[in-house]
Formats: sequence, C-alpha cells, structure tokens
Amino acid sequence: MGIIWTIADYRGARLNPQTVELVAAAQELAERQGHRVWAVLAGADPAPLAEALRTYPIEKVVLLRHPQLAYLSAFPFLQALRFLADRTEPPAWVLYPHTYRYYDIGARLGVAFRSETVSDVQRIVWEGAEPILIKPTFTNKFIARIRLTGPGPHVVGLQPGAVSADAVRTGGSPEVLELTPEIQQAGRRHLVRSIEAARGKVDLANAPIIIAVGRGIGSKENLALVQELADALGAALGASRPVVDAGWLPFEHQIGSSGQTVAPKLYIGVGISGAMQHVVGIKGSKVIVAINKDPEAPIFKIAHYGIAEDLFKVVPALTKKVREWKEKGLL
Amino acid sequence: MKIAVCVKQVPNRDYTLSLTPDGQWVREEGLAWEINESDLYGIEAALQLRERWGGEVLAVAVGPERVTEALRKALAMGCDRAVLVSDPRIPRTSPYCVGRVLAAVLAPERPDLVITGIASEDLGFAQTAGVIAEWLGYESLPLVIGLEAPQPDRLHIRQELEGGVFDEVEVELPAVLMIQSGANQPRYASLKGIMAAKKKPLDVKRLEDLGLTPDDLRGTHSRLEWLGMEVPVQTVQVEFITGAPDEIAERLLEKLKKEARVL
Repeated sequence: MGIIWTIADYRGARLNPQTVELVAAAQELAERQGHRVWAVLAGADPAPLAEALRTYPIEKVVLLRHPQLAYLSAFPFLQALRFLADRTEPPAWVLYPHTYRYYDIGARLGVAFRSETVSDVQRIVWEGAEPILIKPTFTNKFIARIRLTGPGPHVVGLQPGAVSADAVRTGGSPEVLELTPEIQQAGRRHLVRSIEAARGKVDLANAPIIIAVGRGIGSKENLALVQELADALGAALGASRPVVDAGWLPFEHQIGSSGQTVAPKLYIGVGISGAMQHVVGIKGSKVIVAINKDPEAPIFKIAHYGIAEDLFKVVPALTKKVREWKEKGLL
Repeated sequence: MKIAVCVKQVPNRDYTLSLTPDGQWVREEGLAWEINESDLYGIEAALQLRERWGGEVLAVAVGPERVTEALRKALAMGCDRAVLVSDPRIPRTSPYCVGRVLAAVLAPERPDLVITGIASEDLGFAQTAGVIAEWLGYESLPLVIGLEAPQPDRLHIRQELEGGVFDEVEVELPAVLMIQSGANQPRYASLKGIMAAKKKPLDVKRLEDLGLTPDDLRGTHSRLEWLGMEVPVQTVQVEFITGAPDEIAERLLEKLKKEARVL
C-alpha cells in the first residue's frame, strides 16, 4: 500500500487537460496494486485549481503553496516535492506529464529519489498488476517495452494521450491537504515574459483540407509544387518542423507539438517522415494520405492511403488531375 | 567560459533500420553513423559563446569505440578537446545510467555551462540534461531555441514550448541547457578544422577512470528494465496506391471522393 502522486499541471487558471489522463492512469494503477491516489498541485496560490480535482474519487488533493512556485522550475519544485515526501511519506509512484516544461524536472526527480525515470511513455499495457511501459524509439520506427523494478518511488512521464481521459472515474470528495513547503534554495532562472506566438493568417485549426510539407521537399524553391496542389484543392499549407527550421516557411505553418494541433477531414503529408513531434499534431485528422518515397517511413503507420513514390512526380500529376476533375465538375 | 557539450552518435537517418533477433537493439552492421541532429545545434551554440567570451569547449560522449568518429567531427567543428566513456558495462538504454556517467566526467571539470540536444534520435528519453543537472546541482532549462550572453555569467534564453508559447528567461550560470534544432545554423567542419582535429586531445575512458563501478550507475530505488523493442502494430492499415504518377493521381482522387468521402 503506497501513494501515487499525480503531478497536476496547469497554465493560468486552467488545469492542463492531460491532468485528467494522469488521474485515470493513477486510478488504474492504484486499483491493480492497492495504492491511494494523491493529486499534487504546486503554485503561488493553487487553491482555486483544487476544485476541478475534487470531482475525482481520490484520497487527497495536495496543495503546495509558496511564492517561489509561481513559475515552474526545477529547484523550487523539487524542493517542494521533497518537503511533501518528508512531511508525509515517499510515494510509491509519481506520474507526471511528459511535456516540454517537465523534461528536465522528470529526470531530476528520478535522480533525487535515486530512481531511473521512464519518460516519453506512449501507452501502458498491463501484465496483471504490473504496468509495462511502451515508448517510441528510433524516431517512431520501433517501440520499446520497459518494466520498472525495485521498491520505488517509480517515476513515469506520460505523453499526452497515453491514457484515455474517458477512463477516469468521477464522483468523490478527496480531502485537501495544504502545505507551505520550505524552499531554501531559490531557482537561478527567472521568467522575463511568456508570449503566445501570433497565429497569423494561416488558419490550420479550421481548414477542412491541409497539405503539409516536410523535409523531403528539399528546398524552398520546390515549395511552389506543393502550393499549386494546395491552391487547386483549396487546402491550407502546413509544415513539419524541419521545413520551418530551415526558414522555408514561417512558424505559423508549423504542425506538431511545438506548433499547431490540427484535425482536418483530409490531411496530405508530402515528404514527411512522421516523427512523433509531428504525428501528435495530426492524429485527429479524419483521413491521412502520405506521399513519401521511403515505404518504411513511420507516417505510413498512421496513414489511410500511402503513395511510396517520388513526390516530384506524384504531386504535379495530382495537381493536374485535380484541375481536370474540377473542369469536368467532378470536384 | 568553460562549456561542455554532450554528443550522441546515432544511425544516419537515410538507412533502413532493423532489430536484432532478441529485439534489444538495432542491427549495427552496415549502418552509417552521424551526430544526433539537435546536438549539432548544441555544439554551434557552445562555439559561439566561446567566440564571444573566450574559454574552451569540451565535447563528451558515452558509447562504443565508433563514437570517436563523432567526437572527431565535433573537434573539427571547433571544440577544443573531447572525452569518450566507452565501457560495455554502461546500460545504454537507461538515461539515468548514461547521465550518471556524463555527470562523473563533468563534475571535476566544473563547466559554467553544459549543453545537450533536446532528445536523441535513437532512444529519445530527453533526460540527459536533467540527470546531469541534478547530479551537478546546476539549474536546467528545456527547449532552448535562442540564447544570448550579455555577460559571461548570465544568459538570456528563449524557450519554445507547446502550442506556440515562448518563454524568455534569465538564467545565472552554472546551468544545463537542452537545445532545440533550429536554434542556430551549425557550421560545417572546414578542411583546416579537420586537420587540426587530428591533433586535439580525445581521451577514451572506462568506468574505473571515473571512480565508478557498474553498481554506482543504477538507481537504488527504481530500475529501468529494458525488455526489448518491436515494430509497432499498426492501428490503421495503410492502403498503398501504386502505378504511374497519372494513375496514382486518378486512383487517389477516386478513393478520396467515393470511398473516404472527404472531397
């Protein structure tokens, strides 16, 4: 019998939607192993966020309140968690969101507990009471199966979507434990400002058809080929990260974990290999078409229709055909 | 300014990978290797800081002997010296253990700044920076997309976070940064650099040289047990469309209109 900490992330006055997924994962783990679930909220004044967590049948909502916790950074956050472990008991498990702000924190928390953190977990499969953690490797070409051994704490970072939020059980009134941790060592990083990039004129979120272009296009000049197809189909033009990094298209075209998440009825990926960072942004598309000369490219694992041919031959042919169909009134 | 950059050698992305029969790793025969992409941006960031403030850049890596090739390239780009820890007893699938080894290399060096790439293209745990920072007691920053050093002991950082959010942060050194691809334009090694790299120090160490035993590397409370890798089961069965480009175009449009009904 131990405790599972669920790290509740938030931005402004809103819980990160992934928190519900973490609670669902913790509930399942608790049920199979006989643990209790605590949701842990750290901040300068986390109390208003507690209400949303009190709808779940978990044992406690822990509020760690300290002015230094207003900005999430490793030094104050880990000291607050250490305080909680000392004041109560060390957890059996810690589940945290594997999102950018937690990349360093998840690894550090493991070291602090002398525990080998498993991050980037995509899915959990169960062997009885034991969770087998599944994570992508080699830019999504393979998945690894990982087990944790030892007394714990076991520290696990879950990708968004690793566990369905639909599985969460609701109804209950956990008690609230509010603590003011001692934070002796202040963080040595200070937030100057946090800004949201302008979306610009590229409205990928509402586009019914998106053509996204990747590294395979080879150069900025070659983008015209894809733009012509996009114009013919009335599609918005998206891009994977390498295309934006290379300066071939501005940031507002970027789809994926750093860019926009899209859910068009038709997504056509051109010269995109399907790295996880891009795939998380297109999962919600109704139909995915992939054009990539490498038949082993990971994007074909999630595509409905695949064209494993040279994009420089297929894309112009497709543009021509779309125009023909339009002239005939077929489109 | 003393800067350490962590370098990982990964398979060249143009090669088709397959798994060893036990699924523990990929078949290495016939593969070409290169420096992990985001690590190149880390090297460039380190070199730019040295050009601005002086000092030295140390490249460090963990891996088999072949990784000396990656470190030679880092030296050819302009790093001053390199250390490879090559020891088959290091569990390479645990970022905790690999980070512990790197921290042991860096601890006596006391660098002002440690830079890693955002994640490796092989395992992709994105933990090396955090593990090193915790062992060294340094500040840590994920997802750095821009940095300036107005003073040699203070950096102005731009971080690119989810959903198009950018944070601007001031950090006092020492610190560990995770650099994202695109943060700068990594330089190519010049012929002169390649020649000079042959004479630069590249030490190959084993665990004993760092005062570590294999047991020291492992987490005492929780250990990662690598059961192996497999090809993921496809949730969607892809339908490949083949033929001449014209035929492919015609068939795709038909399928999208009549079968999928999205046009």
